[in-house]
Amino acid sequence: MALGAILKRHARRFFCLTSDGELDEGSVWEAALFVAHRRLTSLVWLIDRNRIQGIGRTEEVMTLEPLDAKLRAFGFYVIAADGHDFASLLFARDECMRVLGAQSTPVAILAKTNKGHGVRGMQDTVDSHYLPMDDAQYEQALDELTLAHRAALRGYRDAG
Amino acid sequence: MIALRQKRGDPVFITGDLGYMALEDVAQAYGERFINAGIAEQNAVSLAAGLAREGYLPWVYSTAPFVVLRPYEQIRNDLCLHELPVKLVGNGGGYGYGIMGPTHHALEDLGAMRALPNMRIYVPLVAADVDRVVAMMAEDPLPNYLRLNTPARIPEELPAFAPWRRIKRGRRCVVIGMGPVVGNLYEAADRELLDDIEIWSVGMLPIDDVPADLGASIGEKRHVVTIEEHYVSCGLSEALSRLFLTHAVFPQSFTGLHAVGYPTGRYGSQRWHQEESGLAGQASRAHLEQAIRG
Repeated sequence: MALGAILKRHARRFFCLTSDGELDEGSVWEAALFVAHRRLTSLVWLIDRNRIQGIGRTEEVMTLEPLDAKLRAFGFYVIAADGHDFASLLFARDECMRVLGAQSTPVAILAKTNKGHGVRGMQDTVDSHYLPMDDAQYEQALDELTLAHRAALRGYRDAG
Repeated sequence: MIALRQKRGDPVFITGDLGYMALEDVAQAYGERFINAGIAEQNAVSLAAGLAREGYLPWVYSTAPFVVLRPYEQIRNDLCLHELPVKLVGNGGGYGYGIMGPTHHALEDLGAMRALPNMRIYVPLVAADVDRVVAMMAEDPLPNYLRLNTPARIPEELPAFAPWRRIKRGRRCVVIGMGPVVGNLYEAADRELLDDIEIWSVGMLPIDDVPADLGASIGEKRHVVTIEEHYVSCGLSEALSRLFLTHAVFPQSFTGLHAVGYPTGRYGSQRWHQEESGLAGQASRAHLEQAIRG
């Protein structure tokens, strides 16, 4: 789609969100080679780096680190961010716009996150990927996420 | 392809790094719309899906197995489920790449594509079919697969490309084939045998009708032989057997000539593989005679 917009001479921006576990797939790196080769700077690649995949931690299942170096080697300008912190994400956004304006390099934002963020007992566990919740767990998760959501919104307002 | 680009504003040509001394004119005519996506067919198909979403008509060209099997999930998820008009072009369907061996052959491509929702397959028979097939595919709103091969030389005057064509009339047996392998019948059969066989060609799959003339011919001659450069599983003969059952067409005998793979484990030219599978030469003639004479 980013290439289509270029062919049409349309100035549009595209965001592609992937997880980290799926970076095991060769098709992701085929696309990365293409994006870098074509210098598709209208495309921003957001990576949700929670370090957990199907039934294990990414570094135990299939080592991705040093992921930032791999992305740079493929031709991306890498911006690290805290995926739960609006101030950090806003900074990444500004940095991203600055880079895309100044260089002909595509950008990858490596957003560090916790799987199950904001839910006690779930956070950063492999369980958070598959575990079917019972009603009590569901109610508890909902309450905690409501609080986390409010806190995040406060953070967003504070970050301006 | 060049004529299509001159006629329409939307075609894009994507190659999987194939086309040396073949696509230079296409590259020139398409300019920035000619994209060598490298040897990365999964991305090429997803890329084509994105371009189709942007209103383009992308053609993705490579050797048949690399455009069908390698990116199969992308074809299903990105093209078929979204009903995007991406045109996959596989060169050398069947044993077309000969001595390059099984990695470059496609003996299960029709079956693989038949299994997908919203996918339509086009298989030309002779060189004159290709222009019409390309024009039909350009108008077809669905994802398509075009299986290319060295065209057959058919000594008959042929009707224009269509899902069903009667190639010639005959006395005792109906032969139904798909693709240029049909042309082998003219080399395998002598005059007398040729007089005995009525030949029909299937140009598209899925196919959901039985022409009245074909039904009448099968009712009269009662013997049906199919010929396809494809494994028997999920190929033409299986498609026809279901079609005939649902249309209450019941031949007395139904014989399939099809690719059998690599029985000796050796590789050779396309012709050599066809002969080994009984799709050309003496073996195919024996099959035909047996089907007719019982």
